[in-house]
Amino acid sequence: MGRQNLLGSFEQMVLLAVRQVGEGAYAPAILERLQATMNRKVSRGAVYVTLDRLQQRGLLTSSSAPAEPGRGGRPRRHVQVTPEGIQQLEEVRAYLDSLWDGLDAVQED
Amino acid sequence: MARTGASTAPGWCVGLLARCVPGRLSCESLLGDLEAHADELVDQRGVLAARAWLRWETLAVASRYARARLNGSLRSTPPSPHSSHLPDRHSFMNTLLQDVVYGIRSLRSTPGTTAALLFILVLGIGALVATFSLVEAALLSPLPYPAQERLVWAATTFEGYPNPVGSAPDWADYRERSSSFSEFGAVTPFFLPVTVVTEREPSRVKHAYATWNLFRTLGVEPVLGRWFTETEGELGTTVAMVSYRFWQEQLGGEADVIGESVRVDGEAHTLVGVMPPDFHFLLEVDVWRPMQMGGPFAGARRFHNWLMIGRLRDGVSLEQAQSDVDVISRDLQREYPDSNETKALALTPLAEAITGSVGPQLLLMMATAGLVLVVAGSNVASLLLARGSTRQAELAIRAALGASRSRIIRQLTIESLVLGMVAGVGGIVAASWLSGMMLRVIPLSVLGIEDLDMSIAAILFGLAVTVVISLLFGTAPALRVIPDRPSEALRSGRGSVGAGNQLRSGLVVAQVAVAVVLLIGSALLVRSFISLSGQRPGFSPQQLLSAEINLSGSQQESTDERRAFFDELATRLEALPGVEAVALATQLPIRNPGNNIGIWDADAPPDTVQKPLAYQRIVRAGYFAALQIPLVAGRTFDAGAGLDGEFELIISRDLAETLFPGEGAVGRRLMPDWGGDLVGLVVGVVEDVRVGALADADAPTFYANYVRSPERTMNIAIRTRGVPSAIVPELRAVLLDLDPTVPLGDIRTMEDLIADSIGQPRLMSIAMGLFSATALVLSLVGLYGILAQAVTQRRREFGLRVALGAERSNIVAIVLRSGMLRVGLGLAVGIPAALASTRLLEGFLFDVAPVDPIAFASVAVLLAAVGLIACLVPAVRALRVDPVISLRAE
Repeated sequence: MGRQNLLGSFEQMVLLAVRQVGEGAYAPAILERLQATMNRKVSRGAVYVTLDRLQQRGLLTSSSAPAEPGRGGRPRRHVQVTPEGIQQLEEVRAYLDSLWDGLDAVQED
Repeated sequence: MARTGASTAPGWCVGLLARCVPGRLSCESLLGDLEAHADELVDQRGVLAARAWLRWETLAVASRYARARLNGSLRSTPPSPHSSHLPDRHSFMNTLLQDVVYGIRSLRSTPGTTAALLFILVLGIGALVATFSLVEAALLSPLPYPAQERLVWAATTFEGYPNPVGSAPDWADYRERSSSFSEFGAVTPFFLPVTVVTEREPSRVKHAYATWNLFRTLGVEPVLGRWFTETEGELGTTVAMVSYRFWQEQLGGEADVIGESVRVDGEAHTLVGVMPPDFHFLLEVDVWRPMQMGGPFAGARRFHNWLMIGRLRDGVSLEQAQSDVDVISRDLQREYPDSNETKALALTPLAEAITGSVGPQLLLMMATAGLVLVVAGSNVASLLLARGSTRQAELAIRAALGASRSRIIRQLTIESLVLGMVAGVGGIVAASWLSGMMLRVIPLSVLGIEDLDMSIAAILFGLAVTVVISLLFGTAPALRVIPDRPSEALRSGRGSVGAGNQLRSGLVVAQVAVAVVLLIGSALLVRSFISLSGQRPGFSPQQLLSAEINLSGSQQESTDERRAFFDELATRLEALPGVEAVALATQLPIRNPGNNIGIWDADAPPDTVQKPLAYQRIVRAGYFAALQIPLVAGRTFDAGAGLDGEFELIISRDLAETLFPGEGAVGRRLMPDWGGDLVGLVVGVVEDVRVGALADADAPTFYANYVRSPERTMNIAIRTRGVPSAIVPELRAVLLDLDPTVPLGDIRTMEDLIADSIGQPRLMSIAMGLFSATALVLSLVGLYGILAQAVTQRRREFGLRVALGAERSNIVAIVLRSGMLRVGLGLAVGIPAALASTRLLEGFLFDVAPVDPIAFASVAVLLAAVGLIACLVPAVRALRVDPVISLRAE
């Protein structure tokens, strides 16, 4: 299929975290999820930039949630993984799985 | 929950993100997320921490976005069907407006720094524009006479030395014989108070004599009536011209006053003309009478009372006119060897002659104000550089986002222009107020300038200065902080601050040097003022009240009546319990300067040329006791002396030593140059007294007893027991009782008069002192600022040094050395500069050399001391550096 660039690992993690958070996923929640999973500090800027990049590549869509009290009238941006995004995640997973194939046993030795 | 100030992103954060983050929703929601998080932090870690976090995190996120865009992993903006790569006609104005808004925003984001910069600049620009408006009024605007460039001042010279004034017969000869002038006039450069009685009321006004053609020479037409005519310049006619003000105030401003009769000092004069409202020549005069040959001040060739002004004929140059009058001078020298043997005439353009006295002062003030502005401007540059190093990240982001270098330069230029313009407008407003104060330091009344409005030229000058200052000190240093390779600047989180620091260091040295020059200048003026106010006037000015008493409008016509009046006045005043003594004299020291004539040894008349000059004072017996002028030899006037005795004179020590060096003066006979053969006997010698200002050297003086010739106008000095002004009501009562028509003029205490006489040097040294103190403070702020920043930047190094066992005192020494090195360099540049420039002050200094070692040394010591203090604060801060913390911070 000749895809130019495969999803990077951080991009995969972000996409997966978006799906993990599920309905109403937004940046701070995604960040929190990532930090909890990786058990280390994640750069806030990296998360935001990645979200925007994924969106530019059509792997994410975002929608504006109505302004809530306490945010000074600023909207909250909800993100959702697109079917294209899901497809790419699956593809990467398939590549990786095939690469991992047969290595688990060796590792456990 | 209500949003607190701490969790609201400041304008620059919003602006920064708007530029970095593609898409409005992304940006707005990002801000919302950041602010919401900051809100939580307020509760957990406090307002300050939340505020700091918000700013820091914004920068961090923005720099992530910038790097993503730099390496192409993120597009700048979402593609839009309307986007075009062709330049938009409106985009220039749009981005310009953006830049202005952004500039204002970024200035508002640091209100403290901005306020400090504004204050410094407003003061600097205000001072410079204020002095400029004086310079403009005095030096750049031409004299208010038609074709004023053809007017020349003809100063009489003796053996080449100029004497401002010439004699009436000489004036007549030059006027008649010279072919270079279309008109040649003269005026008394002093005024003589006269009592003028109109139909309304008697008033005491300022009056001068002018040749019949003076106004023709100046080319100023009367608004009403006519000029004097040539025949009115001859003895016998009594006419007068008046000022517009006099016409309005005393004559009711009515058109039919021409031809009316007014009484001037008791004599009827026909009014022939009214001068225009803005007419002014040298003095504020209300009544002019024509010079009449053989009349007042226009007698012999040896009496010099007239300031002569010529109007050059068309096509005649100053040089041609000068050689023309030189020929006449040589003829006059031959014709009148008695009086004219060494006399000649020197021509100077009138504008130059009039402004010559104030020009150096004005230029000095303007140069000083300019230097202060340079120091202020370099402080601004220094502060901007300091700010610039923290703004490197921001600038790098902007470069990364595709802003071209020229765009960033434009942004920085606009930013400093925004700051500069606010300061410029403030400075011009401040100048309109400061120029009033400047006028008190440098009075321009000789030019008829009592009040100054900001002229268009001054406002334009202020704006031009503002632009230059903004570009020079705002943009130029800002260019130094534009990162060459933005990606590196971003990655390291800080830019290359080294270049900016070097520039700042150079600025500090320059500031210190300028401050040294200004401080030395003002130290010289202060020392000069101190030695001036330490001058003893030669009499005791404490508890001495003075006033003028004029009998010209009263019934006391004969000398006997006048003497009786003044004797009675003195006797009655002396009987008052508050009065210790009373002195009466034609002229009192300090109060009434001037009036010198020749006087010589009657038994050994000098050759025709070298006649010693002395001030003449006609005084009533008791004068020396009342003024407490010590007697050196002989005796003072006898109170009971009558008219029949010998004509007695008392002379000052100075005159005694001039006339009779090494011999006793008492008993010698002197002849004053009164034109007769009256010879006086010296009965006493008294101490020298300052005749005019305290700065004047002691002047040779002779005193005659007033019994022979009590003048119409006498000045009275009353030595009181208590506060001098307390005696005024009693003085008025006594005078009213004696003769209600006699006015009491210009009541002043002697101490006030002395303070006035040194008022201008005092204001001048205060003004210079303020200027140089400002420069000093500004340069110390600059020094402190750069050291404080250096200490912050070298914290890690200091930490390492301490960790590796360096003594803390070594650290202090490092900081002190680097600070004092700059102070030393500043002194090394400033002191030679001061040596070269203080000679400009020579004309303003009294009894102090322009290279006065005390002034130089004290400034050097002062600067070293305050410089040390400015260095100590950051040095102590460096001392507190905890190696563990500073190393961990990296």
